[in-house]
Amino acid sequence: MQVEVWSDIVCPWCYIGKRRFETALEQFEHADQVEVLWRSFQLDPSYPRGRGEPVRDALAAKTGASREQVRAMTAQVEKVAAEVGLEYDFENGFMVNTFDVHRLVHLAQSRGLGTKAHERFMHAQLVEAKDLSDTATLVELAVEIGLDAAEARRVLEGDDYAAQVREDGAAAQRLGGNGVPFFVIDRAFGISGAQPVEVFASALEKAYRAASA
Amino acid sequence: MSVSSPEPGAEPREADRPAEEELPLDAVTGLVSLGTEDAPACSDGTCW
Repeated sequence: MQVEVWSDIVCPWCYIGKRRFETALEQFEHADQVEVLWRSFQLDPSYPRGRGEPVRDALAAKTGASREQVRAMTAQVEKVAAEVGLEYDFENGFMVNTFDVHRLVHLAQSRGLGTKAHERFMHAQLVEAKDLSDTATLVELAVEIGLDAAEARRVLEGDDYAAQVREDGAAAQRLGGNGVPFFVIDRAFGISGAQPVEVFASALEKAYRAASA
Repeated sequence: MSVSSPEPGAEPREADRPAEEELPLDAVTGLVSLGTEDAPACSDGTCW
């Protein structure tokens, strides 16, 4: 079975959905037969590359809300994140363009390190409030993941995996994924959003039965 | 007339199994959608 997950690194519901999906997968009897592939999705591809801006300032500018209103909006997500063990830091976090991060995830995926990369970058972005618009930070994280520093730097300086990032976004649209997280099992079942663990568990069972029929 | 119970541990007979629910297939995407439509998600650059 193959589970493709469209997700953006800056997406707080994606990380929550990831944790819920992982819990369902841990409980799934046939988890050893499941391959997870991380697909790129950019929530805001128009955001300038190479710029890191305090996330609450960026949200206030984008939505027209006051700082207090933004604080209230993010507080609700922080509360749900805490329920799955994630301590989000929107106070110090940065809004960034995630195109280059996704290119590094593709590099990692080509080395069998996709899941590790996606987890590391999401944790860096949402929990550790690292500035992922900074090349040195990205290379440092790439090395932690197990990638070669020189190779990561070469990818960041060029346009490797750019086509894959764009194709992932186009594929999501073809499959009806207008938001993230978006999970697709065996290109047969689609699950949108940070659904409860039970929904993911039921989806895995259904997909397994369908694949075994 | 008596109705026999299955042996403990026996596979349920086909007629005893709950019917698989009908899952709607999206003709455009080719996917069967699972879960609720109101699950929290991010789209168009916003999540809030």
